[in-house]
Amino acid sequence: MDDLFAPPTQQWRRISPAYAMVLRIRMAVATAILGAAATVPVWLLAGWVWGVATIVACLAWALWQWVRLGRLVRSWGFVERDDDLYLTHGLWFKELTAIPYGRMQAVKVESGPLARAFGLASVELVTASIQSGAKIPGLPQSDAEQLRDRLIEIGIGDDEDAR
Amino acid sequence: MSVPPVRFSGLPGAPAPPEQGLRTEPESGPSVTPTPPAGATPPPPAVTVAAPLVEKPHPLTPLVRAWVLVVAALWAVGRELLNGTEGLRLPPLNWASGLFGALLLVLVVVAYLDWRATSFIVDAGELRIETGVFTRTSQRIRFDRIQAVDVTEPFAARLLGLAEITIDVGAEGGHKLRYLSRARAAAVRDYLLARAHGVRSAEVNQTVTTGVLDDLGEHDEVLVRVPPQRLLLGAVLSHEFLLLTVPLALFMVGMLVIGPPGETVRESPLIMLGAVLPALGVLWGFVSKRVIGQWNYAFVRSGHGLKITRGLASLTSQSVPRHRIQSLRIAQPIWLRRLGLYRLDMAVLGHRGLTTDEDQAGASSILLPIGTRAEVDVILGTVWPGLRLADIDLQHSPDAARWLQPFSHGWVGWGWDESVITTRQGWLTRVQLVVPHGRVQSLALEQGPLRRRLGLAAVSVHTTEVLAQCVAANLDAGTARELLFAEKDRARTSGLGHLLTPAPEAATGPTTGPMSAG
Repeated sequence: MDDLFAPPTQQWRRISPAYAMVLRIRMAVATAILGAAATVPVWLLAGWVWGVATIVACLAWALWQWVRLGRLVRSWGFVERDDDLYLTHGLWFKELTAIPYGRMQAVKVESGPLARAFGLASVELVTASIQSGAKIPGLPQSDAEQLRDRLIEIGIGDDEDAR
Repeated sequence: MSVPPVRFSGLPGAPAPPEQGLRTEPESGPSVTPTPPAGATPPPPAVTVAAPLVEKPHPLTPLVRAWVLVVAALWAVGRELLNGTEGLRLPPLNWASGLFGALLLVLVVVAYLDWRATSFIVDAGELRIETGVFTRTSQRIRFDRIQAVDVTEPFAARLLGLAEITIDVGAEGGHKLRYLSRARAAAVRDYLLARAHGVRSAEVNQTVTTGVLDDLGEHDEVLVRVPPQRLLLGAVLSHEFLLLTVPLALFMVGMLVIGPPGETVRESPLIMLGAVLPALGVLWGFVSKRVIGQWNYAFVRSGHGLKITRGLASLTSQSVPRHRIQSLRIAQPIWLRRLGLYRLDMAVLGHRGLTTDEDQAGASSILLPIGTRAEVDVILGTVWPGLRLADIDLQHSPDAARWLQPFSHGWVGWGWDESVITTRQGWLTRVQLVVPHGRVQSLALEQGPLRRRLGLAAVSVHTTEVLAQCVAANLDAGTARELLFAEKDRARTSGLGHLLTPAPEAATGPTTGPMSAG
């Protein structure tokens, strides 16, 4: 990480590496389905050479994504400070989001079936703006709940100027 | 001032608790006690509350609500009557016309019962809308929840001289009182606004008048008015119009000069009408909507606040809730640059269904459809008196950003003072967004691969209702990071009192609770 996306203090807290497996499984399933949907007509219309070429292309894509998703999960970070929360993520399109505690309206903890199988959950910070997009995925369930409780204790939506 | 007709006398009882209203003002006096009707027993010595005001919708209301059906029925009957060479004759009495007649009768009876069953009752602390013939429904609206009261005249109602009142309670959709006569609607609107502001002794002023072409009371002050020729100019010189006209013109020229195979077009150019007429129809529809929807646009300061009245076919009168404005956008399409004309939009919290369309009868986000810089400044000065937009130092992007914004490099910039942050972006339409620090919800620093190569970054400011992306684009990376942290601090600590009250006077006392400077 270059200096631009360095944390304001301390170090970034990372999400669980097991989340990479969740993303990889999703990617593999999606690639398999789409690859099959693409290969079958190509094979039937253009012959077996093109069909095999399509399969090889899909496999190459899946391999590249496999590696990339691991790096993506390592790029996630968050830090809680006294008055605000910072999130960062991204490999090519990097983002660093700052949310003052006073602007948070609600905290949502969610986990889909795949994430539950790995014991992970995501924490979403809801502000009055739909653009905020502050979601920390792939935290261990207990960490997610502790983060939620801490945020609630700090006092969400205390700031009346957020109207 | 005349006392409103009272359907039943008020019940004596304990006084209601003081209303919160839109502004916390001291009570303006003792509540009005109604004169007891002749023959009633004298009321006990306890303080009486003001009599409830009961309002019935205008008798022509069912006509307006079902006007499509009425017009269809009239057309069908009229056609039947005028049909045939023997002149006027009644339609044959067979089972079809009998069924139709019976259906019409049923509809009329149902409409009449529905009208009988609807009433609007103004009580001590709330407004009740009672409807329903078989299942009674009572909607209650507390006065301290009322954010704005607007009068609109949809087209069918306008023809009959009626209007509807829309009550905005800050939630999705408003409550509508349909339909009252135009004068009565204006009087009731003023009464509701007075009650909402906590004036308990308000009465319905029967002498309030309102014009046919606009909705101005006697004491209203028109601050900005848009003449129709400027509306027409704005409609003609807009992206949508030119996008329709230019390809059409090119098509016609191409057909005439080059001609499709067969050369039939050159012999009879009228064949092109088949393609051209629909396009002309769309063009006409666009221009008429924009001009008719914003006809006679007026920005008015009335006793209870600011409002916008506009419209020819449907007259809309819409309140401008200053305290709920989240951000403002000043936009200038490229075609209007020489003329120095701008458009001003506002994003208001809680205005679900807010449209940017020019022709919608109802709450829209347009604060000024087209106006000069001076008019924009007048409106800005009225809505946010503490705003000093011209004094803000604007910072421009570094030279490396020319790769990413070749055409808008001279325009793009950002700046801030102690009340607001402002960003500029856009090329074909030059947009300037103004967001008060207190309305910033969160911030994001963004950098994609192209920006990383050039050592730039962007800072995105998130607000509740989005008119356009408020982005300080293509800043130097270090500056972007500083801006992120500085703006985050400013967002946390600043309030809006400084912006909403005129700058020379310090915030005198409590304006409203949530809005006082943090």
